[in-house]
Amino acid sequence: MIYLDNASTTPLYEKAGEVYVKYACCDFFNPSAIYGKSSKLHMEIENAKSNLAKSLGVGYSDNIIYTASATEANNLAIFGSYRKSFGKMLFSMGEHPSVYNCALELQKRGVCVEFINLQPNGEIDYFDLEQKLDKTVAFISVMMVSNETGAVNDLKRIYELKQKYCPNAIFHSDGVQGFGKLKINLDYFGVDLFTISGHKVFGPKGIGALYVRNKNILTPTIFGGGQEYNLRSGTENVGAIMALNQAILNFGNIKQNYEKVQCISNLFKKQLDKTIKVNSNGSPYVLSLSFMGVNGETLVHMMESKEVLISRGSACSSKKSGNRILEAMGLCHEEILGSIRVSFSKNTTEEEAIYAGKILNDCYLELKEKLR
Amino acid sequence: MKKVILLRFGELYLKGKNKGYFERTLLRNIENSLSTFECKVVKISGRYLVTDYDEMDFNAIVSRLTKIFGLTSLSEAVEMETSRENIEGFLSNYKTTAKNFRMTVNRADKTFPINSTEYGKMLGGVVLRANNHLKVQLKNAELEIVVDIRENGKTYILTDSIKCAGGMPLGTSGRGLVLLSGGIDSPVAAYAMAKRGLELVGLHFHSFPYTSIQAKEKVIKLASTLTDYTGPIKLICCPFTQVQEEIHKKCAPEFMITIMRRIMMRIAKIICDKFEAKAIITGESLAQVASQTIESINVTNDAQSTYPVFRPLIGMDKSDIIEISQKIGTFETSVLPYEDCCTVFLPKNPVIKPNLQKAKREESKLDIDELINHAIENIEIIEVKGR
Repeated sequence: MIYLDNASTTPLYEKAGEVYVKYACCDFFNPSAIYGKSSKLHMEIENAKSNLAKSLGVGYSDNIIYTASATEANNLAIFGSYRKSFGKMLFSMGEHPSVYNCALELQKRGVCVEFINLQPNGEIDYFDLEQKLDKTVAFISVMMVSNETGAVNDLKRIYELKQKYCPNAIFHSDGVQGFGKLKINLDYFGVDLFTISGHKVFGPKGIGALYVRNKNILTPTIFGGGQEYNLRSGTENVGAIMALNQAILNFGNIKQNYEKVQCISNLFKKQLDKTIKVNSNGSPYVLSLSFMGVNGETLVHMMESKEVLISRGSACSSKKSGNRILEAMGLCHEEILGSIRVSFSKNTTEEEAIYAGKILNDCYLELKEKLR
Repeated sequence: MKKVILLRFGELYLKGKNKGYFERTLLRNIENSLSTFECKVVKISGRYLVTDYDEMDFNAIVSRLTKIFGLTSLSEAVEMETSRENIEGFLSNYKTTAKNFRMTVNRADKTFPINSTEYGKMLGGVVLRANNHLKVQLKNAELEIVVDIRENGKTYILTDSIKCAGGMPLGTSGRGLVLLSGGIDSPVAAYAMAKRGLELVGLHFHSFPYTSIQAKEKVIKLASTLTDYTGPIKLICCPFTQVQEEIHKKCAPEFMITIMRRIMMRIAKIICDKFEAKAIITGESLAQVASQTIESINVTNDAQSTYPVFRPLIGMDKSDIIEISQKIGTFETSVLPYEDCCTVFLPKNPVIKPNLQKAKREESKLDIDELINHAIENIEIIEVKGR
């Protein structure tokens, strides 16, 4: 089997699995208890947070909050920041459902929510952003890397625009598809809140985290025993936290991985017919393609029967018809219907990329012939 | 004295020599349906009883019972040995907040010394003495207390009755094959025919890779929802990709749907032979779509004449069908947006009033027997158990 759906999830790194079991079975104590074995766990979690902060290019100062998923982290970032005094809230049209649907919910509750258009390459339209920025803007959420297209938004540029028009606005970025894949320096980007996920980077499912520059901007959305600085109650998922830490230690050299995946992605694209449209040119880890005249879903199934797993759009939204993000990029109905997503990891080999690319091309030509 | 659930069944089939068969089948269906609960099911004259159940399971048991075809209504009742002392003793402690009531006595046990009208008046008095505020009202009373004196030496006292599914006991009409597409209509058609006593086998056509595994899982889920009413269902999944590709390649596009449906009927006939079903059930409703015109149905019917085709929804509006699908719990699954095999290769202009001769002429371009054999050889049988 060749797995090319790494933007959807990744397998747990073996050593991370061992760590998970160790903390689930042996060091299973509740970190909030007052005996020694528990305080030891507390220290280890602090260590893991410090490592995570480092991987985000910032120093650790109680600025990491673990959550049960990136979806939860995004919800905390948005609903935890929201105040009644808020003016406008801006979201990009390309956001993952875990941000986009928060925006729709706020809109339903009567909050002034506006969406930033996308350019044909999948990045936000910075001119549209500038037009929508004014001093009433209180919150901006723009993802780092699109899960659908791999388009990379220029967070620094967004920050600078924000400083020009509404320096007090809170800047959140969903960093799930950038984390562990692209170089990150949150101080340089100027974001206030940044979301990451465990299972996209060979960590376990059921763990995410929110970086928060200044905890005072947040109020909790989950109440209880006061864990995570009283901002996210619930007994710490120590096994998952430590397994994620192990996965982070295994990142390796981000720049080298990036270049390798760039090569892999290029090799893959080389196998494809000239008529196949590449929908963006951002992160090499995610590749969105459009095949004219066929249904992308059929291609996904054909590939599956040849033991190659790819995805139709994002797994989180494939159950819904249409594709909001490709639509916002201005793709036509046929391009959207014929779209698929291929996503690589640092472990994808050249052979796999060449083989899968060929298979995809063959499937497409075969299908086109059948439908003629 | 203990609480029991009293079950009433339809009178339709009580006459005639088949009575025993119907009653035994219904008893077995009740027992199967309640097999996951600790309780007893017994038959007394004219009623069934569920006894010795855990009070905590009451709602779950009632929910199961209301889905058993053949039962018309049920009531929770207090069971006691028949004696004036017991009956009057119980009612003298009966408290209610209702403002008015009526007392009904049924005396199936004719050895009981007082006739029902007289005893009704006497018992009414007992209840009135226990509840000072209460008044008797014979018509439209807020509360009706029923005292059912049965021939088994027991008396049952009850107040409310809950409507059940009605219909005929499942299996008493034989077995039918229902074509399940995954849409809204076919599960409703399945429900309607199961209600008339047909045990069901399902047949689903799928077109991988044009349709997804999820589309098939959706049909399994629909069948699983239906099992609440029908008991376990054998679901036959038949590959249809090759058939559709061949039609697409060789026949006029406007006849795609017509020929597809004719081949589906032929496959259904063979599946009926194999699984001893005696009728084919479809969810067609007249004029709902192009393939459901009189002409289309006629041309489809021509494909096989061994088994009757039951179309219980033929005269129903979509809104009525949706209402039933919501009631039986299949709607939510039916509207999940997975492509089914009917939407693949959909022609731009399907023929609305197909001509049989033309359809046959188009069909003759195919090696139909070969296609059907290939499909039948590759069927997958899924046993869909109850939930």
